[in-house]
Amino acid sequence: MGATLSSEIIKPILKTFNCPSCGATLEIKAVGTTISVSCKSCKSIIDVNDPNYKIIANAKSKMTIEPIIPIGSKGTFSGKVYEVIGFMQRRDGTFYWREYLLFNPYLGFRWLTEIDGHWSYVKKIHKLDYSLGVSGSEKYKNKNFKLFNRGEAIVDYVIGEFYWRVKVGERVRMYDFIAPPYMISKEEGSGEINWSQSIYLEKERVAAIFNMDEADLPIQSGVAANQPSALKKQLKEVFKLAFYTVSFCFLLHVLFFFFRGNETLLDYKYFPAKKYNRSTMSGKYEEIKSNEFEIRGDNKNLSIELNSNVSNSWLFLDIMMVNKSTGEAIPLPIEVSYYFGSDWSEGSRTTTKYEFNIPKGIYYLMIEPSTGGRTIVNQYARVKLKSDVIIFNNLYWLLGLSIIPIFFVGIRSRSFEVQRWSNSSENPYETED
Amino acid sequence: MLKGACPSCGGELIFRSKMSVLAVCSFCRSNIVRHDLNLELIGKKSELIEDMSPLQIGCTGRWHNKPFWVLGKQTLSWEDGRWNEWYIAFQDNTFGWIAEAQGEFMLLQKPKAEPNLPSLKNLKEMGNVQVKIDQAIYKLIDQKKVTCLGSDGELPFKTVIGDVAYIFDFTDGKGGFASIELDNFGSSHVYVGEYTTLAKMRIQGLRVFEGWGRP
Repeated sequence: MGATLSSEIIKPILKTFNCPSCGATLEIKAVGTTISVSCKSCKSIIDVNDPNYKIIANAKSKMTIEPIIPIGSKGTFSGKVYEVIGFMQRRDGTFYWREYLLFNPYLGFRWLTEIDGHWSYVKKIHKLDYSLGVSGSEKYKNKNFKLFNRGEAIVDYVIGEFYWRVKVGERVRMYDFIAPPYMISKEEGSGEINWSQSIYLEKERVAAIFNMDEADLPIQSGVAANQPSALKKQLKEVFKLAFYTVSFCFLLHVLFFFFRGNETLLDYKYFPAKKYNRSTMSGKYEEIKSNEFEIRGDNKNLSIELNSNVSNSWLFLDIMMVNKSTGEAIPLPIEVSYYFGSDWSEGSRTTTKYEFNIPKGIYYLMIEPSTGGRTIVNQYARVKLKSDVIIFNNLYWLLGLSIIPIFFVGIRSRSFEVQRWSNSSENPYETED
Repeated sequence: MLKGACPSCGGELIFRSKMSVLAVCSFCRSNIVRHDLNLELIGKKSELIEDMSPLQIGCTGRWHNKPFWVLGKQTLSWEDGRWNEWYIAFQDNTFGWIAEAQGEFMLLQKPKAEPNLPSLKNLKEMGNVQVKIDQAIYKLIDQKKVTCLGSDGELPFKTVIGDVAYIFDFTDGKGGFASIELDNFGSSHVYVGEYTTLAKMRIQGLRVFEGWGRP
């Protein structure tokens, strides 16, 4: 069925005509598709679908805006060449932005938009459920897009050629949904609904695409709707780091839990009593000696826990752990204090302390109590000694330390988002100002 | 393939597909209709529409792994512009269209089963119409009156320059499109398809434009 076909290189089909209003020579690049042209010299808009080149609208003002990227410029977007064939400025209230229409005969049309020096590359999408797009979020290509702006877009200025009938003053309703660096937008006007997808372009990329000097592009201000946040990424990384560090250490502790002896050496409960001294006419606690216990293995750690029924009082035990054979004593002073009112409390009835690098041997405790505050009937002291224990406190410290960078990056990330949403009609931070 | 001589100028005229009904003579641009082996001259001469379309008659492509040939082109105009309908023929004697509008391409074929259509005369006045085609529900989104601006190569029907038709566009909300055309002979044609690209259709033999590199 094959037919002969020409594979020679042909000149692009160009159409030139004279502006029916001012006579300037105008050129059409997207022949067959372009239907309106805005004259570069007098700004009249001409219907080129009409054989007589009817004027759709005469220039309304003498205003001239020179596009930063001139019409006729070619740029290479990831290997694909596009030519700027049209330019327009649109506005919503006092927000102004600029749109460059890009053309490639094989790939069709794309746009480049610029607002406050921030650039986006835009293509049409065929998001077909036309009823969607007015709620707070949209799902597209498995990403959640948040409604960022509901507004109006009014054509303010046009120059060049377009595949629709452009008109200065034309209004469409706009809905922008963001998932930086992406944004999807719905434009609704005169019975037509169009969806497009934007991706944020760094300024230096735009300069490279059009072989321009970055300094010639507009200065950036604020945060663009779909500008990706480096801080958000950083925040994610700090989070990840903290999560992995803490999880790793936690696993390590759990592992220790199984391999450590966690051996109870002593569980000693007694009721400290004062002995009355006739000569001083006062009571004094007696120093008592505990049972003996053995620490097997060198350099073990040791935990000492004191528990007592203190109530608006304190109990202090001046403990010496004495090595039976060498007589060497390790001081293990420990105190519990617990105070409370009807709606407050302070301290605790249990305290735990740690000691490290204990030489092996047989030990006993010498305990000398002292108390203060309210006198407690049947006050007891329970001393528990364990060797080879895991110390979960370390983990809490680690957790605390990990939160610090999250906190600082978090604050900065949030202020970036506050700035982004300050231009939104749906600003979730609005009530805080 | 049927070869004959143009009844108007005598130049060689080729019908490459059995499904083709009309061919535009490449020498004198007359519209020739085929009746078995007889060729009849109808209508005015067809104007050659020049545009920047990368497609041309003779291009080949593949759709769902089935090869096709581009055999004809029809340019239609409506109130807000114009577009091309490229007539494509598959090896299995089915045909379809590549609709080219606003720089985008859609490939459309006949549905598997002929759907029950709402009265198309009523369709013109109605807003919220749905049709069921091949088990999918399509919603009416657009309707327009179109005029044939010109054609080239072969076509599967007798439309010539100046003929008027009505086109109703539908979507299934999942990327699928349907188009119902009501021609000036009063018959309707249903096509279903989707948006695609030249790369996805694996088109070969595209036109090469100076300054735009080889596609």
